[in-house]
Formats: sequence, structure tokens, C-alpha cells
Amino acid sequence: MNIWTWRPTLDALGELQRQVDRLFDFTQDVSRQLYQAWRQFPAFNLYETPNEFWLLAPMPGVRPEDLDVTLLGSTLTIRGERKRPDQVPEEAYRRMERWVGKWSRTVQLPESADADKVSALLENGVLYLRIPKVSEGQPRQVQVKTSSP
Amino acid sequence: MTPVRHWTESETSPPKADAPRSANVYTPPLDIHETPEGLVLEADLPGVPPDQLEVRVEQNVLTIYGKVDWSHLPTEARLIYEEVLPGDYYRSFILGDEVDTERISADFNNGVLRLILPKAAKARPRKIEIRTSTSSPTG
Repeated sequence: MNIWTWRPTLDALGELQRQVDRLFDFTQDVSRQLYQAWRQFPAFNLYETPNEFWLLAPMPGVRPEDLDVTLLGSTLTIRGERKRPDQVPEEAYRRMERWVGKWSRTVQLPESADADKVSALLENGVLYLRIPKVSEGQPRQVQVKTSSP
Repeated sequence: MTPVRHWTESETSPPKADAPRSANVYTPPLDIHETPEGLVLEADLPGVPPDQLEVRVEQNVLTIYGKVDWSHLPTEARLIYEEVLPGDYYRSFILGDEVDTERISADFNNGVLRLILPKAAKARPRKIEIRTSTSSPTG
């Protein structure tokens, strides 16, 4: 016979919390490799030098014409498509591990960057984006006017 | 079953990519599809320069090893957000008898390795002529 230990509501919530924590601990242990697989495509790293940001994103098989990069203020969006060869019927595949499809990722840069000066390079299936920061101008005096009656 | 030999155990012809290996070694994802002539294998190896990729067939074991080099990143760049850890790629598997290992060819573009694994002659579908005797079977 099972003995049911009654817990007051608050304690039950605490128990739920503990269970969720356990679940997350478990998930973190197990899922590193899994995470590599289901995370958004493409994964990217962001770097900083005094005057630039650099984005590095592995995207094997993506051709320059399949890639679109836009920068608006500090919001950077990269989108594109990765395809399997057109002429191969799906039933010919014995193994399909590579992710394909349309993708889009948006990055909020820590500060505004100069959209006109962004340069992109795709090499060996890795995208390198060089994003110059907006040069800090001189402090600008703002004229305060009073509305004359 | 032939044991898969690791790179470091091969003494006769050391791999080109023999520099100190990074801590992370990834298994590259791959697709394999079949054509009338054989199998086509495509593997993702982004960041591997062509001269740092080694594809090797020993007996019937095919091994892919690629060393990643993010060469365009300025050395002074400071990491501020990370999803990808630099690492190398390694994958090894045993080819079936159906593959003609002598005629394997490879190309490598945009970080995708494409291997053509032709079927051995004996594994290729062969049409068997069926002859019918026009004359009636007489004993």
C-alpha cells in the first residue's frame, strides 16, 4: 500500500520546482551533443575589436547568392537557404543528417554599426562578417529653445 | 570486423593535418545517396581549408579528418558571444564490399566534402540476358 504524504500547496510548488530543476540538470548533462543538432542554423560567434564587430558563422554549402545580410542600426539579420542537390530523389537517400532549408537569424549588436561599411566573406563554408562600429562623434551641444509667447 | 585505426596509429603515411589537435573533435553530419553508379557521400566540414582535409581509405575503412582554421578572424578579436566552439572533424566508417575503393573520388567546395564511391563491378546491376529457344523444346 502506498503512503500518500500530504504536502501543503506551497511545498508542492517547491517540489515542482525541484523536479523542474532536476529535469534541467539532466537535460544539460545529456544534451550538449543534441543541442548541437537542433540549435538554430547557422550557429554563430560574435567578436569585438576596438573598432569592429566580427560575426563568424559556419554555413557549409551556402553559396554567396543564397545569402542575404542586412543591418539596420544595431540589428543584424542574416538569412539564406541551404539545399540538397535538386536532381536526387528523396528515396535515393540512405542517410540524411545534414540540415537543409530556409533559415534566418537576427543578432542584436551591443551598439550601432555602420551598415555601409559591412564586408562579408564566405570561405570554406564559414561566413565572416566585418562590421565597423559607428565612430563616436564629438559630443553635440543641443540647443534648448523656449517657445516665445 | 576490421578495427578502425586512429590517425595517430598510422606510421607509414602520417596525415598532413598532423599539427596539435584542438580539444573538440566533432562528428561531421553527412548525407549518403545512391545512384546507378554507386554512392555519393556529402559531409559538412565548414572551416576546413582544402589542404587541411584528409580522406583516407585503408583496407575498407574510410576516414575523414579535417582541421578547422578560422583564419580570417583578426587575432585581437575578443569573443563576446559564443555558440560554436572551434574544433576538428573526424569520422570513420567501414565500406561495404559493394564499393570499389580504388576508384573513390572527392571534391571539396564551400565546406562540403563530396565523395563518389563507385560500385564495384560485381555489385553493379547487370542485366542478365534471357534467351528463349525459338525452336520448340524437343527431346
